[in-house]
Amino acid sequence: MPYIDVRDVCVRHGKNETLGEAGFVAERGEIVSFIGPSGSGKTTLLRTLIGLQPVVRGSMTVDGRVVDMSAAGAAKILRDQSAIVFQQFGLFGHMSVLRNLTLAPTVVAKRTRTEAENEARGLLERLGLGDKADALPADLSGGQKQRVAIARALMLRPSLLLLDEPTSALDPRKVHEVSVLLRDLARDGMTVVQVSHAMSVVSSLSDRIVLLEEGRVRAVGKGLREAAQEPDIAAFMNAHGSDPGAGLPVGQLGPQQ
Amino acid sequence: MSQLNFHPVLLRLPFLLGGVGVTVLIATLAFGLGLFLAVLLVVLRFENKGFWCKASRSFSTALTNTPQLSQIFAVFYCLPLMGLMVSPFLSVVIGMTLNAAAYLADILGAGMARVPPVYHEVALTLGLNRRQTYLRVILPHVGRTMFPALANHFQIMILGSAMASIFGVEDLTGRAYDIGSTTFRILEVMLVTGGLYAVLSFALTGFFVLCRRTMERMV
Repeated sequence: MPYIDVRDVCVRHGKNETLGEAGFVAERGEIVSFIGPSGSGKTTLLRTLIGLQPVVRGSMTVDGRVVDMSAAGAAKILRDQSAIVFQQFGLFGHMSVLRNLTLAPTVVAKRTRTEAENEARGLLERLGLGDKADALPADLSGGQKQRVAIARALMLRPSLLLLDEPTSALDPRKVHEVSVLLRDLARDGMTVVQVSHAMSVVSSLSDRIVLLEEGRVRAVGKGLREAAQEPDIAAFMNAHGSDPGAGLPVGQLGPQQ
Repeated sequence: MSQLNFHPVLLRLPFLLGGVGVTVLIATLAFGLGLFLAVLLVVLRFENKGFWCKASRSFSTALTNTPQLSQIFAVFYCLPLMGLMVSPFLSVVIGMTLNAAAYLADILGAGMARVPPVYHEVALTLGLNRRQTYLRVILPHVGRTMFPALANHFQIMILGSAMASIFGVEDLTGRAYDIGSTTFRILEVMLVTGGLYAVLSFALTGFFVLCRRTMERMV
């Protein structure tokens, strides 16, 4: 039984079905990438996983616990098990980096400030931001903001980390840094789901690739080798700037390989 | 000009200076209470689509398009009609509070419109409820971004509180009238009073600059 099993997610806007029977599975510690053309429903599917997008129906199982995503109160359960990093990061500009990280743990989870701050400092240290705890978000570079946003999400101790276009605002060197970070997190058992347009990141990072088209899952490839043999995925990735079969570092292909 | 005689006015300077305190008290009370009301008004605007949103907007429209003096007169004469006997001081504070609430709600509204939309979604996914989102995220952000406009309005209120004198309140202008009517040195007393308002205003500007710097260092 997979660690995460999302099934039959259906989203409507008026009469239009923006997502139909979408779903995917993932094991613990896997990195799943949603790819597909604009308007294919990637971000919508990601948002349903944390209750930001109302669904007509759909179910999500995490570690054996089933959630009816259309039920009242589902959003809260979904938010308890997942955390999201938005494309624009959404760091609160009037708070220090440290306070951005400790806000939810102290205000929502009612942990003590000292305990939350210790954990936050440890996390910042691990992400190479140890000296930025007291800085304001405005003083950080794009790559640093990204890592702070990831750290803030990790403070929620989620089972599932969602990222919307995690590398879109970053230069190639920073893209590499974030990729390494996500790979490290996955190695430690964090399951990561990302939406990405950057095929180089998708191909170097993903354990599983989900291709969406017009709100439906068109193809799923587990691991890059299998994904490369999926004609639809290979065709999409080729057309968008990356050849999934072309020699990428095998060491980055994920835990199964 | 040689006929200007400040001596009688300077003799009564301590009395005049006492009016500065009343002026600051009126403006501070009205600003503080007005800001509290403005927060409620603006939250109603952003959290409701129907009646309460319209009511809040209508309140601001009505009070920002009529003279503040008329509003204080309305409070001054209407409250006794309703059986509430209030002092002139309180009437002025209530009238200025309502007026301030209307303007400050518009200022805060402009600040709320500039809050990045992603803040709301981030707060939601962090598990904050609406009250926590407003108190911890939205309002502090708005307070910082709109601080110059809010400070500016406070200064306008300090100067505008001179109309309290019309209702017999012994604020700075009220006391100036008193001195003028007993010494017949109206021009002199008004020049000194104008100078005191200017000093007060410059002092406030300095104070707000300090506040802003402290706020920027405080994270």
